[in-house]
Amino acid sequence: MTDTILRGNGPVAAVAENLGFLMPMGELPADAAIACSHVVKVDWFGPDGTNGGVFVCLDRPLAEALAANLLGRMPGEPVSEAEIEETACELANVISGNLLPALYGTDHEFHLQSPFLVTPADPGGRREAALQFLEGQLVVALETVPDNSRILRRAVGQP
Amino acid sequence: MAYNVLVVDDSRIMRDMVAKAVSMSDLGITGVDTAADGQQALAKLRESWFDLVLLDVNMPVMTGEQFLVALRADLSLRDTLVVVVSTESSQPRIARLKALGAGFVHKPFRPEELVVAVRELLAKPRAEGAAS
Repeated sequence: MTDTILRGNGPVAAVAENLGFLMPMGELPADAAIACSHVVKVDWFGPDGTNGGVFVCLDRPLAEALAANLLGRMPGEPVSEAEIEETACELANVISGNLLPALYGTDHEFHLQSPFLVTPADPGGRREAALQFLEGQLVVALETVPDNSRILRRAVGQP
Repeated sequence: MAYNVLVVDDSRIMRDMVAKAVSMSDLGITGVDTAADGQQALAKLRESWFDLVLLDVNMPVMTGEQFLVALRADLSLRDTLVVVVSTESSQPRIARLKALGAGFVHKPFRPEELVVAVRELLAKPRAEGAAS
């Protein structure tokens, strides 16, 4: 177990709360294992040929709560699997759009591709956020592309 | 006043959220239509009158920025009011969008933030609200 504080926790928690009406309860250990029921990937292209992917992993309770919140369902009203997948993709899209500039600064232009579901397993990569919500757990990881570090530098002074 | 609004976003969920936010406000929105990308949006604008476009940036087929450039180049559409609703944080790109006469609201947004941005744009004289 590590005590690393992940740089993405702040912006990811803000998106989940403001978009998905989820209630952040705190940070998980950076290497915490979660039971991912839904993993969404968002590919991106950046300056000078940089590229990568953002993986957003949700456990089932969080994915279901997110769908219910975004679709305005009443407590106890069911959500379909298709609705859960669609809302998970939307959350991943907005997380990615907010996370990349938080990590690399606002001077770069990132072009995000449409989000898509991948195999629900830990995607590896570099963890940028690991969060506990009242409703469930969420992890965000970046696909590591070594060449990117030539151009993208971590933003200085970011929390 | 009664306003017709076109919501442009490749996400069905986001189109619904944006449409609901403006429809439930006191802005006087009486008609809302949607499009999933910039190309569809241009086609709809050429068919029907819209007072305002609420526009995402990252979309397939035609991005929001490409749409805005095409919009301002079209003599019949160039004065259309536009508010960009996007996760976009790149300062250079935001500057380009604003230089094309667009308002800007960052996602995720509170409904009142979107309403304020729209109200400010609607209050401007039409030529001032669009690109110069």
